[in-house]
Amino acid sequence: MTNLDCIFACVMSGKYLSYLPPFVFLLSLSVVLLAKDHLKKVAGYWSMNMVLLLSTPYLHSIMKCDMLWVVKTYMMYLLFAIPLLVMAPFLYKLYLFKFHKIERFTAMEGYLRKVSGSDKSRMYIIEMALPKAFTLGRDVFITAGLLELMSERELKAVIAHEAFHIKQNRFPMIYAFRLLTFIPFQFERLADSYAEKIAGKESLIRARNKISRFYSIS
Amino acid sequence: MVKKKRLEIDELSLLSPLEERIMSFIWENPESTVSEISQNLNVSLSSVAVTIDRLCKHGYVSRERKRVDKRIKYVYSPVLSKEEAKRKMVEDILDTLMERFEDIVVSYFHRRSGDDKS
Repeated sequence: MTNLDCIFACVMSGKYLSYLPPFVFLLSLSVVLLAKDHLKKVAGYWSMNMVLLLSTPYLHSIMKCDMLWVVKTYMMYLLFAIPLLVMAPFLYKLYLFKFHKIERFTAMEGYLRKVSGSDKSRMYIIEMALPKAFTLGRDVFITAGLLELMSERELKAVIAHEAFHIKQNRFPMIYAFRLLTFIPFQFERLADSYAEKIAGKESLIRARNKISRFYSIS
Repeated sequence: MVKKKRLEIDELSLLSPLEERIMSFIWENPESTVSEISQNLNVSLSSVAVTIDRLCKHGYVSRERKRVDKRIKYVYSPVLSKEEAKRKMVEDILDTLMERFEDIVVSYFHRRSGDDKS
C-alpha cells in the first residue's frame, strides 16, 4: 500500500467526518477556477490551502498504515517553515528600515487607501536608483528610481497593482502557502488585471514597458 | 583585452572601472540624473543605477530629490572632491590594515619614521 492509497482508503472509510476535507477542497478549487471576482479566487485559494494544512495532522491521526514517514516528514517541515514564513515579512521590514534610507511618501497615500480599501495603508520611498515596487502587509514600498521613471498616471497603475496585493494580504499566510503546499497561484496576473480595471490598460502597459526598457528586457 | 590595473601608484583607485567612469562624469557634471549618465557613458540604465547606489552607500555621491514641472527627478552630486576621495581611499585602506594588523602597521610606520630621521 502506498501513501496515496492509504490516504484514499482513510477518506473513503467515512470515519470521523473524513469526507469533509476533500469536499471543502474541491469546493474551493471550483471557486478558484470558476469565480470571476479576483478576491473570490484568492479566497478560494486560501481555503483550499487551509484545508490541506489542517487536514494533514487530522488524516495522520486516523491513518493506520506503515508508510507514514512521508506525512511525518511533511509535518516536521510545516512545523519549522510556518513560523519562519509568518515572521519573514516583519523581519524583512526591520532589515529595510535598518539598512536603507526610507521616508514616508504621503502624496499618493490617499489614492492607495482608496484603491486598496485599507485606511491604515502607508507608502514609503526607498532611496534606491533601481525601479522597484513591492508590498509588505498593508504598506507599499517604491524606490526613488521608480518614482523618477513613471509619470503620475503610470505610477497610479503601479500603485493599483500593489493595492491588489494589500487586499490579498488580508488572508493570513496567503503568500506562505506557495512554499507550504506548493500549489501554484497567479497573484501577479490577478494584480495586473485589477490594476488594468482601476488605472486603465494603457498606463499599465506603458509602465511595464518602461521597466522592461530600464532592465533591458525586450 | 588587458585587464585594467586596479591600484596604480599615481592614480590610486579602489573603484571599479565603471565606478570610476561614473565618478569622473559626476565630478565634471554635478547634479546629473541616472539617464544623463547612462546616455553620456553609453552604459545601460540598470548598470548605472546599481553602481550609483553603491557609490551613494559608500559616501562618494549624494542623492537629491528635485521637482521639475511636476515631475520628480533625482540628481547625483559628488560628496568629495577628487583630492578628498583619494585621501578617503588611502585612509580606508589604512583603517582596514590597522584593524586587522595593528602591530605590524605600527611597527612599520615606526621603522619608516626612524629611517627618515637618520
